[in-house]
Amino acid sequence: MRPASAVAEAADGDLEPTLTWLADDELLTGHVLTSVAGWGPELEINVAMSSMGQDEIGHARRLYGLFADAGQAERLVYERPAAAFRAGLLARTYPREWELLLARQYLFETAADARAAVLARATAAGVAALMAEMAHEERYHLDFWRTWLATTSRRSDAARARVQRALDRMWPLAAASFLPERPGAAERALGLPEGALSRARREWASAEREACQRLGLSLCDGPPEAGADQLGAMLDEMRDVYQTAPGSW
Amino acid sequence: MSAVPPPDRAREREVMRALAAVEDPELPVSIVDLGMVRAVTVRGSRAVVELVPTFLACPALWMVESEVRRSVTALPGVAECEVAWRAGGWSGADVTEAGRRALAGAGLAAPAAGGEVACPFCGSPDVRPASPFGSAVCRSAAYCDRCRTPFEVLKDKRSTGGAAPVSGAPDVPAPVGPPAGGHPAP
Repeated sequence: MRPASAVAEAADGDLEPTLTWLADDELLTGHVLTSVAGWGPELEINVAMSSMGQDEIGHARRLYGLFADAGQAERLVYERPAAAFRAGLLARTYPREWELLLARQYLFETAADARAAVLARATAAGVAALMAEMAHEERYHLDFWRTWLATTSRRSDAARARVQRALDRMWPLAAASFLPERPGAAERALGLPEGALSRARREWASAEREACQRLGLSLCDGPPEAGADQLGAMLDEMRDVYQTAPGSW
Repeated sequence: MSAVPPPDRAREREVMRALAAVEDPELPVSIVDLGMVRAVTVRGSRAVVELVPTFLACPALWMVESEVRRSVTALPGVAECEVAWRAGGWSGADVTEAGRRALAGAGLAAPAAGGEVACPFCGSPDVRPASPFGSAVCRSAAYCDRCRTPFEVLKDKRSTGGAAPVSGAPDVPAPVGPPAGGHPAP
């Protein structure tokens, strides 16, 4: 493995940047979920968020583990410069309201599920088996957020309007986050057919438009909102304890 | 090139006995009864233990790995122990009868091969899911309508009963735990 600072400069077609992108998405989402567990509207939701957050962090650990040993993975999480993180824009958002979290997680999980179906056919060593196993575990997440999106938006016109406003903010971020920076290079590195990820993105977007329409919701394209990238604040929070005594935790 | 020693079946049985004493740190049951051990191979003084994780994010996996290594290398004639994590999805059906009894004693149920769940307290099949998320990542919550008692169920991951691969290169990267020697005090 190269030093953490060199990850961002890896060459086209290299597997490591692609795995880093997938792992970073899981790590940041796991951090958000474990951090907000406690302010969900019901106790059971908080238990669920904590459990899902642990799952995501565990998945990140496994993905880093495909190219890094334990010490290297720890440095990637706690010492890597923010500029070297590869997570998508959606994973970099840190929602502070329930319906924003609901929209973020619904879109994150549906995208992860659609991507996992493609990645489970990757020929790169270890990737397919790991993605298939992750998908088994994440079906619980998907069911949870799907149920809450439907429950909340069917509750009342006012509730649906709040969910719609959240989707209006989160959908452009999700749409910009489905693919890695260089999809062709990622497909070659993973051993996927050319265009497989782009096809999956089109199918996911179309399926989610229909699913939302059935709930009286819509997904409106637009530019990602300014200030959506809150990675810096997220990393400060994540590293707060570690930085009191680096290398000792 | 030196010849690969043949499998030592007698020593493999000794390793399995040693593994039967390794408990899951979060469950009152050995990793053998939990169905986590998929294969053991001993050639010469080197053992390879193939395990499946119940859940990928289980925070106890690195402890299991470390305890397996310690227990196996404590056996006479075993100098080295490799732990290989396999994919394929652990399932409740992998739990032995002894494991089910031990889990039931702690108010936990493991689904049968067809996914059926019985109450660990009264044995009734008249149970219903309460929440897919329980007190640990590998557990969901359920309720028995007969004895009116809540209990937890180990989550099943193998939806279609596909068998896990048991040989070849590790499928799942090793769990990333703390560095050898554990966490020093800050």
